[in-house]
Amino acid sequence: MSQSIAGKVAIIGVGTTRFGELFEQTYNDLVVESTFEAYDDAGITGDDIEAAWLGCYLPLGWGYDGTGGPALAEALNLYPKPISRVSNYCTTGMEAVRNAALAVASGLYDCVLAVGAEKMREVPPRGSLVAQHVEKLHPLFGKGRTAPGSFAILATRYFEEFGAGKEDLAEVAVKNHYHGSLNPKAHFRKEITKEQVMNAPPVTEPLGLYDCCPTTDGAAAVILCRADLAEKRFRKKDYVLIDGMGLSCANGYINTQFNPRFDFLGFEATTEASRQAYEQAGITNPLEEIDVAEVHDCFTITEILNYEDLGFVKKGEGPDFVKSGASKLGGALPVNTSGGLKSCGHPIGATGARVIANLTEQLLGRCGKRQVLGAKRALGHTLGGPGSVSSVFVLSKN
Amino acid sequence: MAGIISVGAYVPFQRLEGAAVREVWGTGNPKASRPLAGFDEDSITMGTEALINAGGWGGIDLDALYFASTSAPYAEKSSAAVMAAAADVPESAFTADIGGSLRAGTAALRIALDAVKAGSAKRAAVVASEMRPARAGEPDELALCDGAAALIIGEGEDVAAKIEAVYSWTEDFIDRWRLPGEDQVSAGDTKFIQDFGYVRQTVATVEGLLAQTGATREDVGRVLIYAPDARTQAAIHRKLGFPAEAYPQAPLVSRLGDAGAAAPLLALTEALQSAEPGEHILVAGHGSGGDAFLLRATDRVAALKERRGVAWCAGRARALPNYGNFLRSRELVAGESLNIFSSPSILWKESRQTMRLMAGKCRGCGEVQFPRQRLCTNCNARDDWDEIKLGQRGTIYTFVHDHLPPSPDGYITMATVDIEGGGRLYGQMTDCSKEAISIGTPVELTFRLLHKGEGYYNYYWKFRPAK
Repeated sequence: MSQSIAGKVAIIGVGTTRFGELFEQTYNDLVVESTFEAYDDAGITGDDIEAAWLGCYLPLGWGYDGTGGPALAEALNLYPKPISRVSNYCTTGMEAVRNAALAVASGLYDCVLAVGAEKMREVPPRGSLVAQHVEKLHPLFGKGRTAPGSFAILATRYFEEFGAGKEDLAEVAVKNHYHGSLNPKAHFRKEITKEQVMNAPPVTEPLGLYDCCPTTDGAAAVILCRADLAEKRFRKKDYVLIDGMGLSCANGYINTQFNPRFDFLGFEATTEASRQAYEQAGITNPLEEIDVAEVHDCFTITEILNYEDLGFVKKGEGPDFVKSGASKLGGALPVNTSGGLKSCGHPIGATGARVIANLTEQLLGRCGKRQVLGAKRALGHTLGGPGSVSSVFVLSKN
Repeated sequence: MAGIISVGAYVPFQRLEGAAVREVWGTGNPKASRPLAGFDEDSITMGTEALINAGGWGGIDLDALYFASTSAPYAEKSSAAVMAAAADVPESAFTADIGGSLRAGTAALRIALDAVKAGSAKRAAVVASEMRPARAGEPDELALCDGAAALIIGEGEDVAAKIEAVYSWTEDFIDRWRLPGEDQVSAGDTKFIQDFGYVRQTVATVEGLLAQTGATREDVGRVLIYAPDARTQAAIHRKLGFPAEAYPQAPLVSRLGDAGAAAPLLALTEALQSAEPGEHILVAGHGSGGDAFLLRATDRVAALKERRGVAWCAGRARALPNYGNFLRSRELVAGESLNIFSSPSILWKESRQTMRLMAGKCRGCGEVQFPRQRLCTNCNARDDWDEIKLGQRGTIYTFVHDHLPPSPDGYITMATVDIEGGGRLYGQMTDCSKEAISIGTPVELTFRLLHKGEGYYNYYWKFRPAK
């Protein structure tokens, strides 16, 4: 890599809708709400936006929502600006932010917008993007694979290798529900007990209902500008800088579980994406140098694996890390202080942008009861496909 | 002389117990226990398994394949062609679908024999397979049975049982019948069809064969007669007048039920697997007349014992776990319907992989990869593969019991399996309980109906425990 992103791009405004089953809101409602909150946060209007990226994983209704740039232009009257849609499985929202950041770093634009949005509850649960795995995908290869199934299958192997069990996964659910109880915009805002997690109905054994994130609607928006303009033009004293960002496609979509070299104990995509981001950000000891993290806890096992793949702890030490309280608010490295995907829900296109927005709020000290005091450096992580693609951001306070 | 080179049979592991039926409907023989095709089986999949059992894994050298069934999944479209692909039979083989009568099994055997004798085929396979239709709660539900038999016919030293004589005759007769689209078999007056149909016609068939060959009743070691039930079979046996020891002690029809067109060939495979060299076997099929064959085992007959047959399958039998779920899976009661994506052009262009299970082995680095990519995922070589057949067996690397997809079992077990000889496959498990599955469990591939996406049958492979 010839250059680093570090120091080139600033985040000057973020906005998120409430995450939940938003039956009363349209796709455009979510886009408008999240974006105008970000405009207000940045102190700008749509006129300041020179280009925009929309993150939407799978548009509903044959492209009724979110298929391309015009869907965003339509909601925000951003005619006739350059806008495109990105889609990269569950990293989609982060990918919108990454593309926006790259455009600013290139020098082509001064101020851009990234929006991630997904309506998943416009259809019954069986019709949701996640459940449709069984009806869509290849007619034969891997038929029967589902989203929770492609992560649970790692849990089985992980348990065998490291002697961990369902009770270790439950620690993640209990922690993230606790964090979610403090987040007014989370889908789930109730604490749960370990017993509830252990006794929940099976979904994809060994995962039960409380090991899985819900099906959720939501959107998040991020406004980025040239770092040197954050104060000079946009009059921001406090803002957030992108120190590093990495993306890795370490497996295919269909052939992940067919790969003879995949050990099913972690995701190479995460390891590689974080390596790229750490290198740009100059991070050598993530546990010491990162103050707060939002990682992809689509399922509880995933968060355990993330600790290890992101280098917070060694392989096999993930369960102890969560049990020790290190990843809870007040711990050495609080993880998913928003409640994570587990409590916020996972509107696929929105999640990555929501992670960047939540971390920005942490770094700017705006998180109230969820605030990690003195947080200076933050890590954001998303993981998609059946763990084949991962995106990692390292952010810091200016 | 032409004869049988190899045999194989497949009887589904699942058993419908009379007690389960009785609990719901209040009728049915409580002692009945009949093989029942699983929700992912049909006459094509069972026939494929029987054919592989007869011919082996990894390519069966045949010039012709005759598929006989009255329960072919398609009313129009070849079933034999599906089977030929799945059993990895050369594309140059002639295939034919034979049906329309419970005599289809013995008819196909006669056609195959004629083809070998005429020299149009050196080796021909006959596969008779049935998934017989019956309504829930009706007597046929416990009387009929599902299963398949395969025979490979050829000439020369490999022949394990010579077919010395064949006799056929035809007389139009209404005993049992089923119109297109009907879900159960109709029958005429019980007494009339037994006396004037099954008994009279079968006796005429067997006597025709004996008259043609000059053989006496004492010359034949075993007599295998088709009948729809044990009672009718006993009546035929009495009228035929062979020595009592020539008849099976426990005939298939009383142990398993009426397997229709597959029944005479199932009985024959089983008899050949325990036959002594030199022994004469007589087998007769029935249906508006009949076909009878006189066979004589050769010194090679002992080799047939190793083949998977009725006994091997019976050793794996397990009771149907849930009668209600079975009825739903057969669409006998309504269940959740799925609209699964499929595409004839995808199925066609990938069939060497999906049906014949051909993986790619990189000529550069030796990586075995399935599904095959254009570029080797290990060394990046482009289009530099040798096609290799995936092994039949493997061990589970990891697995998940997934309760999300609708399934008669309430869950689908997905497993990633390291295949013997290289390659890794990820797919569904079948014919097993959760308790039978763990990391390291040996499994083997079995050809199954995966779903009916886009309104046609989408066949593929699943795993089942190897023991």
